Amino acid sequence: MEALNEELERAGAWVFGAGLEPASSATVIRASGSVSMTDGPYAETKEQMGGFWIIDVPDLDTALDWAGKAGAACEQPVELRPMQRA
Amino acid sequence: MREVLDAVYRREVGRCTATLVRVLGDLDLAEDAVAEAFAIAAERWPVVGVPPNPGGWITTTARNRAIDRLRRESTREARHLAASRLLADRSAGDEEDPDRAPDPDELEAFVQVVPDDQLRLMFLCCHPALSGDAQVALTLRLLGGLEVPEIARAFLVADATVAQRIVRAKRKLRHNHASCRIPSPAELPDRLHAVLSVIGLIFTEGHSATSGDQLIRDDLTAEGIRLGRVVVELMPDEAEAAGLLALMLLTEARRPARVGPDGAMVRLADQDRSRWDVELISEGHDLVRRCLRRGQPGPFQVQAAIAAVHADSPSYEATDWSQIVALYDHLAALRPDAVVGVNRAVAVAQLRGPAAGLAELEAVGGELVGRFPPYHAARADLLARVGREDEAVEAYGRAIELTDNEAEREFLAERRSLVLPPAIRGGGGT
Repeated sequence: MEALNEELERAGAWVFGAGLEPASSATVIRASGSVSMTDGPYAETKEQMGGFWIIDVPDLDTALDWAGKAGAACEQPVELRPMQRA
Repeated sequence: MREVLDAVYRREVGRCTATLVRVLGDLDLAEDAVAEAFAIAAERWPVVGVPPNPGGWITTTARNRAIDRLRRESTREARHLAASRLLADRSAGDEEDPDRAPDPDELEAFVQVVPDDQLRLMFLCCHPALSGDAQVALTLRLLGGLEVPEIARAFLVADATVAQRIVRAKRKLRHNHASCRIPSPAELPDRLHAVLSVIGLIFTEGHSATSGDQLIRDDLTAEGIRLGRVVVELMPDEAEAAGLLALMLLTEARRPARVGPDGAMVRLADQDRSRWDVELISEGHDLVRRCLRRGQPGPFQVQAAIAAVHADSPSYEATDWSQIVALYDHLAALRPDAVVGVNRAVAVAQLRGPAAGLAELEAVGGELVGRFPPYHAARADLLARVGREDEAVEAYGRAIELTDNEAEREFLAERRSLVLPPAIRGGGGT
């Protein structure tokens, strides 16, 4: 993981990244009229996100290449999502 | 004129769209511009005649219309972006009549720089980030120029489903900034495999429609072969691309004999081989020989070699079955799956008898095989040949149940009726 993050930085693709505490520490906030809080992660979510990277790369193929390396480094499936343009 | 336009459309639409995608950097803009150019051609060509280079005319007209449209419709920022792309391509000045007839010199230069455009677009349409269904739909729409209802009909899904698949795929490519390029040598084998699989799938669906009442859909087989030729022309060193094209040509060569006058399916064993297309066979043979000499064997090349052995045989009985079994062994090593296993077992039955074939067939494992109609059809035939008629009738029933293609179902029912259950044969007394 360290090695991957260093490689991302060297390539100028690194923006931000972090691991997350286990999903059991999550709190769900729902705002529909009033705001309510419940303990625990979404019950519906089968797979929990364990961490994330934000990278800045020119295109899909470059992103996929990094996502593949990230998947190998964390030994977990990695979902790739484009960010909305501001 | 209608036929001329149709022929130009079929031949040129993929190439024109691909070039416009490069020039405009946007799939939808390119598609619209090309459609508009063909509409203009439909109006003008009957009056002024077909231009000497119809594809070049369409491409240039489409580009001119796109420039015009961007000028009229776009915001300043988008216009700026599009203009910078277009300027790189446009040799003449800025203030042109977008409708003017393209000047031949400019056409020449414009058309010459594009040989890779179609290939780039093919790699984009078959991007591994898209689902298989989306890859096929997008390829047929953008490179084959098929309308959404035509694609929907070919795969027997609702028009809205196909339209949705295409819209989603385009959106996904756009939002992810997928670039339209030839993959680097390191990624090429995987990416090329995706492209070849899509082309193979288009051809196979045309050759043996999984459902519907017609056995063969010419439009899809023709489109598969056309796309296969484009890849071979642009990547002449890729042995598997040549292998796929050879396989399609050798399979297509048997088409005139595959369907009887009543539309019923005719088995390989019963086909009138004098009706096979000798020109396609000889072209396919040349390709097989050339790609096998390169010594980079792959599944498409081995399947093409198997088709070539069949094409060479004067009759089903005289087929060199030992060579076919050897090739299937090779194929099974490259691609160990149930479909290969079933075909290999049929060849083994020809070489060493139905009992040996049946043993091989039943050794084919995997949970998918039970849902694969040819497995049950082959098993039924072999069971009948070793005298296990009851089981044969049952296996034919299973094959019929699993097949959605009407011509194939009729063929299987016909075969089943030829298997006499022992009760009738033996006179019914016990």
